[in-house]
Amino acid sequence: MNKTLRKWIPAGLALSSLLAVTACSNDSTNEANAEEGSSWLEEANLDANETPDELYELAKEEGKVVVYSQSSRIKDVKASFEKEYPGIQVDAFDLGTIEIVEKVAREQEAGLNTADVVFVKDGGGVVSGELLSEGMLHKYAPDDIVEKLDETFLDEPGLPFYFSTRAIFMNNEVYDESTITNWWDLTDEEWKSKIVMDDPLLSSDTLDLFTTIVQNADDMEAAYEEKFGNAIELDGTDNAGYEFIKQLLANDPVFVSSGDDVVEAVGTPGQEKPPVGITTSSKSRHIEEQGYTAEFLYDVEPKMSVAGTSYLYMANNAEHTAAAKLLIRWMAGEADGQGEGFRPYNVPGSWSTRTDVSVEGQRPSSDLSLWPYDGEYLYDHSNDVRNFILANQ
Amino acid sequence: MIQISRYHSRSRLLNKLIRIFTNPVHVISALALIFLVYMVAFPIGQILLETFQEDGRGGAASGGLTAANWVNVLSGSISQPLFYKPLFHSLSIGLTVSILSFLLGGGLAWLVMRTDFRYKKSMTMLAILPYMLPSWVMAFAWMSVFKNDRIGGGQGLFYSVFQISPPDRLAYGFLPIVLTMTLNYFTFFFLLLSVALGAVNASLEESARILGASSARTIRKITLPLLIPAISSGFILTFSKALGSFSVPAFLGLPTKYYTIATMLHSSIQNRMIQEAYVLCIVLLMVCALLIFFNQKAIGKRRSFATITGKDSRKHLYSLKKWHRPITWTVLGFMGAVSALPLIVLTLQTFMMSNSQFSLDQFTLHFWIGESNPAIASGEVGVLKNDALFSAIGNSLKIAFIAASIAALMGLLFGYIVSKRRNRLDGRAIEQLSYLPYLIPGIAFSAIYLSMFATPSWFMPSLYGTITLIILICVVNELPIATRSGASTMHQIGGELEEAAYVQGANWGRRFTRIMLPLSKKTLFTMFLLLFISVIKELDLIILLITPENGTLPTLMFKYAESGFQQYANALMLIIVGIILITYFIASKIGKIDFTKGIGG
Repeated sequence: MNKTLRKWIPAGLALSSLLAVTACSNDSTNEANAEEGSSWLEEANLDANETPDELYELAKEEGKVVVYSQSSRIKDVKASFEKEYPGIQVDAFDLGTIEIVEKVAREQEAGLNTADVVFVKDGGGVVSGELLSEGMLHKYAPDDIVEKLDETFLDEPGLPFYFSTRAIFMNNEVYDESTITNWWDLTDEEWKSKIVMDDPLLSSDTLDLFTTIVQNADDMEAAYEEKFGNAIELDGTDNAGYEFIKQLLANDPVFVSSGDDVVEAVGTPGQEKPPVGITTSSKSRHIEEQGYTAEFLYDVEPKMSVAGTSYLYMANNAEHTAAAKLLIRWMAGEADGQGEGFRPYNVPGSWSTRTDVSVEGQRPSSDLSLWPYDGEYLYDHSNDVRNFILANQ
Repeated sequence: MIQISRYHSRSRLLNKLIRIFTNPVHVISALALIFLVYMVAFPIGQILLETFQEDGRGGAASGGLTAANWVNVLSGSISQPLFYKPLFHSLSIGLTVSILSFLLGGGLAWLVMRTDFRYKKSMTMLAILPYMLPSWVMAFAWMSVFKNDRIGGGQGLFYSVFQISPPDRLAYGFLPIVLTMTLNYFTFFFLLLSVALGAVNASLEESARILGASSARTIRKITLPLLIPAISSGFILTFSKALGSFSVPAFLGLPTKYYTIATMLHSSIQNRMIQEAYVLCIVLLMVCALLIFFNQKAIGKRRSFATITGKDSRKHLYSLKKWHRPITWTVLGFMGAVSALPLIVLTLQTFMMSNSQFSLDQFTLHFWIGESNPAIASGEVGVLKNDALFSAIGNSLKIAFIAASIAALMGLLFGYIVSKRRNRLDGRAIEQLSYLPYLIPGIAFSAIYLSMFATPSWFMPSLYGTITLIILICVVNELPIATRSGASTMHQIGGELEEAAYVQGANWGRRFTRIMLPLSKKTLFTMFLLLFISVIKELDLIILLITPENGTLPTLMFKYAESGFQQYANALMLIIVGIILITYFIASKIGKIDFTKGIGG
């Protein structure tokens, strides 16, 4: 065990024993947290607009910052941050979305404040539904970065930082782009048993796409009419969104357990009639490396897909606030968008939420037609959609 | 004299109490129970409690008690696809895998222990090898052979050889799941039965033969009954492993929408439907509690299985005669194909630039020792150049070694209690409780431990963030294997050995360390090895509890796999296998243990 760990264990111990003494039940622990939270909030001053230099001065005294990250690329951020700001160590935990939610919730309930920065997607709305609503995470969004954000990302619970999306992938060696122009094309006989996708029962991102389709049933209805020329007739379903899911499932899509399998199925060269796929656009990073011939489609009616946004949050009662602010700024690319911290995420298949940063060779985010990500709606409705899929599979 | 008179002056009740409380078996049994109640029953209680909590979604007030979660799963509109069908799949997989594993593992164990088969050591090695690999490796290998055009992206080896697409039934679903799992888990049967067969006194069989019983009758009437504790342990372990396994049914089952309870459980967890997940988890626990209950009934009826009696006997080895050669080559060929081949393919893959093309011009050392090259895997350096590798090796070794040692000893102690107090409440409770951790999903288990040990409570210091907690949860999670194999050995050790020592005045500690431990040396070693392997592969269970400083090899492997860096992940897997092999050789040298010989050999 090394020194840094030793340093924060006593702190955690002291705080937690204090809580154990003062609090008898879970409820009172939460209250204690809330009260403490408010004084911490005042001190942390998340609305202030310190410059990086000011923050660095303060952060040097803190000496470290702990980040819970959903992406393993955080190790590149750690390297560049520690080089730029010597004297501040980044402790990066690499976890999945569900693990982050579980860990943060349990730690905060126990009065431990291990995390400073949390970098996570809102998969299924669980982050907004279970962490934000309990005051366990806060938004830190300095003005000089917010003013660069695309306006669709202004009203968000954390600092939106980049997004990818569940897109339709097609083999561009065999098909041309006009083959699929509408989500309803996937319900055609032509694609029976020829759609490969991450299992929506197991991938919450895929389920988010379906739930968003249900949320935007009106769009789906219009798209149906555009394709078939007549109004949709619902076959025992509530709306055009559910109807789409039902017909898609009736077309026997093939479920696999990872996005890599999807791009492999779609993009392996030399296939006579390759399937189409649905998976995250960020897989396009590997397509060239692996020698696949596939690309995702931009122009699909009614929308390309839903934005799967990754957020940066400040954890409640964070012990290293200045360093945390500095790290959030660093990852968001700093005021000018040139910051090294964003580079690991500025890759094909992902889009910055900022208007001044883009990846060469792919459409700018302003040209994408996407449904917004509605964490609250997803949190309340994804169970219904998942049960619908179960019942109709 | 004074002592005796004092003894007599006390009341009978008091004497009785003193006797109860100073009896080491009682003391150990009590301590074991306290440990299990806190470490196993308490978390399960939390899970059970959660199944009656209201789901706070959709604006509903959370916190109230309700039976709705159970009703939804058991009789709701989706209970067929969510529960009954997957349960049926899980049970048929568990049962079939157990039977096939018994046949394969038992057959190989018999071949190694009771015949004049020549390549015993290589055979043992080949039988343990598949268990060292993560279970998806076998599934992956199956897919590369039998993949058909249902999933796009080119077909498997079968197609390229025969130009016929294998049917879906052969490529996905029940059949491949059962076969790959069998190849993964038959090691339990093999090891447990090897130990048990080595302990069976051949003179019993010889007596039967002398009295005129045929070979078949001898096996049926003498050998099999003596092996029952080992068989039932093997059955329970294999069954529950198969029931709880996620990655194989996910990989091979999803393409034809063949779901098991484990995949459904995973689905609930991924979509954060906690109550539903916990209901499924409790159902799994109940299925296995029932299984062990019947097992206890079956074993409890029999008086004794003592086969280790202190008298050594000449081992009679069946001669394979003219069958020697064909059997040798078939068995070695088959085992080589299923255990060594996947390993060889994966090894080759780590030296190939593209993970699907094998040719000399693709050869590269990049994934092992390469410097950063932005054109390959986003500039990832080779695994041996990764700074995190050596600390991960250190952590993995530390955790696996300590956890496996503690769990093995603990399993032997628990097994001792279980066998000594077979028909008592405490013995049964210990057996039941120590068996349950297998089926608690890793993330739920570790989340509850996180809460339990985040702050000091119940005389326990806060362990969260330390390597101690990781070791602790691994120990508890491995108790099923440990206690089962401990119990099956302890059932075999005759009580008269201990009684003789007792009469000679040896106290309990001496009896245990001088008689029970040496007699179960081989079990201890087997257990250590099995536990070491499964702890060093552990990921789900510990991912919530590790800190960046105590990352392990599987967490590193997970990072590579998550980024889609297949070759790096494979290279890391090979390092894990290498570590296990080295440990195996060192341990068997130090312990002077040769599997292929009898007890204590």
